[in-house]
Amino acid sequence: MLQLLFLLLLSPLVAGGLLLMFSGVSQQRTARWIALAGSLLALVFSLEIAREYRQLQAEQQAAAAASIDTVRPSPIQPRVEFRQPWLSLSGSAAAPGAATSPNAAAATAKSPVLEFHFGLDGVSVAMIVLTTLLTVSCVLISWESIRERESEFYAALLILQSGLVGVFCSFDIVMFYVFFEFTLIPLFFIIAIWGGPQRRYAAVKFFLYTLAGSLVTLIGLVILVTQAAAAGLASPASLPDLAAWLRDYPEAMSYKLQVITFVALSAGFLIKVPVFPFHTWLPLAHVEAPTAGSVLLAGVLLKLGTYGFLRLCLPILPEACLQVGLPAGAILGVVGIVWGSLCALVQRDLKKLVAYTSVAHLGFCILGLFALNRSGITGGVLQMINHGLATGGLFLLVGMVYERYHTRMLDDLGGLANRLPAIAAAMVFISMASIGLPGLNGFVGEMLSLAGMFRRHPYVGVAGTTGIILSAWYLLGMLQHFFFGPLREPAHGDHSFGDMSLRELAAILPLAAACLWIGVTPQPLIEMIRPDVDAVTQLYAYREEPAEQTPGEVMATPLVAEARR
Amino acid sequence: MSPEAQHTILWLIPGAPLAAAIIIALLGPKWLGERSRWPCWIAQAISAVCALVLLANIVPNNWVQAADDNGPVGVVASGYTWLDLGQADDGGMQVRIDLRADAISALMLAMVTTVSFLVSVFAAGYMHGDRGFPRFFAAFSLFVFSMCMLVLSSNYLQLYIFWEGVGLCSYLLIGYWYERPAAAAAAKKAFVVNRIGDMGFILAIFLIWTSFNSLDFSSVLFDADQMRFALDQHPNRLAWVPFLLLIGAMAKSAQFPLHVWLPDAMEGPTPVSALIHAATMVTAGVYLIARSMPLFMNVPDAQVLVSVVGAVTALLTALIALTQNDLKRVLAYSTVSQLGFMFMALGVGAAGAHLATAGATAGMFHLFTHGFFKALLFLTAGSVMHSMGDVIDMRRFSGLRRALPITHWTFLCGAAALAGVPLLSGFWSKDEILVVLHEASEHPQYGNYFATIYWIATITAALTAFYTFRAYFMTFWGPERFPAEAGHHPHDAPPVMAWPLRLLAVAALGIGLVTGVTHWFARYLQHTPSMEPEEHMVFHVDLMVLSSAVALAGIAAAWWMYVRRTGVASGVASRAPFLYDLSAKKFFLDEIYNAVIVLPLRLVAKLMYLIDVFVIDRIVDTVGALPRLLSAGPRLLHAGFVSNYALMMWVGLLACLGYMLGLFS
Repeated sequence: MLQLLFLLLLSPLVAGGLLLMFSGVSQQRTARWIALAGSLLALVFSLEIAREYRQLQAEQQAAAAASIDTVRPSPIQPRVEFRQPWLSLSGSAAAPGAATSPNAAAATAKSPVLEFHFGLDGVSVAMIVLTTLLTVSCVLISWESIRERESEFYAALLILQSGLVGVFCSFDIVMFYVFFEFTLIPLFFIIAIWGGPQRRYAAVKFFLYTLAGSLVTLIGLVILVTQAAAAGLASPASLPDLAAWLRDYPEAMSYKLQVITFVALSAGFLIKVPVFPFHTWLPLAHVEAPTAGSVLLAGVLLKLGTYGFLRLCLPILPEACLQVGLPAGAILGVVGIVWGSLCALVQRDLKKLVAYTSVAHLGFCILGLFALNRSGITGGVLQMINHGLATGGLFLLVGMVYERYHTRMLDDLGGLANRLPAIAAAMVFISMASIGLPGLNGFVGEMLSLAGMFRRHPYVGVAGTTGIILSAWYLLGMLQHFFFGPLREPAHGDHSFGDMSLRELAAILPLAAACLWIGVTPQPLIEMIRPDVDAVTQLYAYREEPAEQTPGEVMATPLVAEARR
Repeated sequence: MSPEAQHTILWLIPGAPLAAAIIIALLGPKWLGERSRWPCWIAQAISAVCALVLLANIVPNNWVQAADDNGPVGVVASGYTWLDLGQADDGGMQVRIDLRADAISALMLAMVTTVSFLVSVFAAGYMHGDRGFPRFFAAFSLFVFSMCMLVLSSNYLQLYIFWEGVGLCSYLLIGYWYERPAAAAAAKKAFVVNRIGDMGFILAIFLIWTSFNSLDFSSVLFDADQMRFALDQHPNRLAWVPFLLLIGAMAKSAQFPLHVWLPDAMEGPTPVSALIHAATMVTAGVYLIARSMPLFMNVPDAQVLVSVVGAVTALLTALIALTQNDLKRVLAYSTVSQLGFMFMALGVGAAGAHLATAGATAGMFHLFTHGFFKALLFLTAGSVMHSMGDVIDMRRFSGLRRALPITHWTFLCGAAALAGVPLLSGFWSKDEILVVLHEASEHPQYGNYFATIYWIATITAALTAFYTFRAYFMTFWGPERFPAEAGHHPHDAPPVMAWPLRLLAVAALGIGLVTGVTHWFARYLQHTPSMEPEEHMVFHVDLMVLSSAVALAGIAAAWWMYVRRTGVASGVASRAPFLYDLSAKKFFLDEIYNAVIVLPLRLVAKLMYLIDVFVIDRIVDTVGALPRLLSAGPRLLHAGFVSNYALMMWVGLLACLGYMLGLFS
């Protein structure tokens, strides 16, 4: 499986490199075929990884059930991992050779080392599949609309994919941060070169704003690593080791320092998600980005923020998450939901509207993650995946409309269902997924996030639930104004285009199928992420509401119950 | 019957329509075309037959067997695990998609599936030649699937899933003619208003989940021990649950003040109005409350509120229906009003636990009979529209009874049943509601409420008879007039439309006699777990005489005003223009909502967006510009002039020199 993972990391890079190398020489039009082949190959790899991962998980769970192992695993535990020290922090050379387990690593290398630490757990597998799936759609949707410097465009797209996969399989801080920042570069070029009229401003703003946040995050990371190294942790940058260390020795860092670290780490993630009020770069970047850029930006890049919370904050700094993260997340999540929804309500630009829906939907995600209980975190993770599918789909469809009319404004467009019935039908479907209609994917994540927050703070949960009314209002309003009613088209321009082509169908159909599949049977996906979520949740288990005797116990001992009454 | 066969039959009830929906959606637009009717018809027929088998055989056998071996009542056909996050007391949640049938669901299913079947037959004739024909039948089948799943749900989350599922189908079918702006707006309005109810419902689910640690009906509703325990532990949480459930039910069943979506929903094709917005989906709220009766029993105030909401709705919408000129709107408001009747009955449990079952029985019985005669009325209205060239304004045609004899007679059957003409189906069910309200008015604490509600119900019954027959006389009596759209010789319903009308007319006339007089319905329903069987059931002849008199008086008044002295109606309207406007303009509720909720929210949204662009983003840009501002001074030093650099070199040298000489220490 690890070989597959490396292939998955490298194959888009290789394809991208090929594209760049021949960009001057080859036929520009062949670039998209190379890109399609590369992205399809990556998709196949990722699906195979997912399959093997499920198999391995089943085997390991069976084995774990059989044995009576009392060792508590770390709150972050990749099921497969690859560790290779590459730098000794104390100056002396690290012991060469790959170590396959944390214990072995600790035994062979006494002095703190930095490692290449790649691995996979359920959440990473799910996010990787989401990334590769969306990339294929991105290549397909760019097929006709990108007409200049194609090789470079597809190279950037594939390199971006590699970077994203890299983030999701990194299990040490240095690798994580390198990939986290690396993803900015290809997207910067995608927006700045192939974007709309204001692309320079949008690209620079996007780049600098997120970079500024990330630099603060870097401070937090440095604090963590130096503290761990000073405490004698053998591999202070490894996430599993860090999490286990701080869980077992919470006094190793003072509470104040933990909070400072948490706030520093959060800075970059908050901007990346983006959480209200750090979201203003997002609508701009989306409006200016080409369709493929928007799809990957909304579908995966924003998830780096929530993924960062899930990987770095929640498992490593539980006390700070509980004391600071929970109230802040609850308030910012609710405000984000309401603010994003209401802003989406008054947009006259279709793409900007969809951009604001991201702010609202990721508010649910934040609410779920910072509910810090099982249903909440599960809901948050599902919401990451579901938002990627649904919003990715929405941007694809917006792109299809834009490609035909070269406008996205409400004043120019209306009643498109009369001209483009298939696109309208797909729009209704994906909108329903985004609204959180049960039976499609959005519902599970939203419901669990809200349920988790409701369990934590009922009133916050109630406030968040208003989002389900607002989301119906703005998205159905969008459908009503853009797609239903009498046909309204720009007067000028060529209107000889047809409805959704096979290529576009191939781009949207996998996403729609995934939406339906997750909605009808969310359990397989939940199975995959549940052990990882549970590991994190255990940190917070004793901090839950006071334990109550359950009806189950009463049923077991009716006499006690009788006495109680 | 073997358990496997039972499960197959149970799964066939929703399964067949689902299969039809998938087949039509995939094959319909390209290949099937108008043949899409066949998968739909076959599926509805299978579904209806299975539901009748369930009603006649499986469920009665089950309760007999349960009584023998003291087991749980209810047939369960297991499905799959939809969600499993571990034990609920550990912060997890477990939800399965199972089918669970007992008496109440069997009765409801029998009505839903037979009406669906008849409406689907009618619709094939009605929608003939429409370009979206397959789309209609796909959504129609999907609706029947969702509705059956809703009724067969085994836990609250499953109920919620299909609760929204029927809402989706309603959205798709209201907006079926999407090129009409009114249809698109009505579809959105229906969905959004229903979402308000859904918010209440999902919050109720969260509360049930946190206090019972389970969402299954078997542990929440049917297990008295668990209920006592949860009440003991979380009295405050459980006090909220019925109110929140009521909000959900009010939206779905179009009760005041959330009823505004239903009249607009008449923009959909008429068969949709008949099935979804009269007979089945809108009754889901009644079903929800009847099903959740044990949760409501804990909170008498919530029950009183159910009745009050029902009474206000029933009276208000009956008043609105008096002056509507659109035949379908009259029927729509009467649907809302009749749903109000059901709600009134559902709340009488506040006046004593012994009345709760009677109230639920009365409400469910009215739901059952109403499903038949209201579907009939809508379909006949559709038949009128069909022959009048889609004109539905009653001022533009009259005297249709000779031109459309089948439509006329079937409409008369439905109208008589709705008005409560003695011995017809509406009479029995409405009478039961009046009886329970009358009994509840003897309660010491809540008696006054229920006495008032009883009189409101009686007045509303008179109004119902009046406006129903007003519509009847305006449409079918008077001089024969056709609108231009109808052509010269309007045709009565073709056989494919006529037969469903005839069968429904028979049901409207007779179903009350078969199931009401014999108390068969009540005795059957009371096998539902969580309902206490009533010992003795009697008829209150005095109440019956009163309600008969009221109904006949309403009909007579309508005859007098719209047949005998046709000038009276406009005379009354011109004499009290304010009252007339109040009724004709629906108490200005749409305008009030627009002014109080929609516009302010949009203004706030606009304001927020302006703040977003001009405040938040400006701050970001300002912070981004800070480095440039700070560098403005130092930048001057790097202007690129050699003389400047030379000067700086001198300054630096001097500073070094000064430092070495100790000038700064």
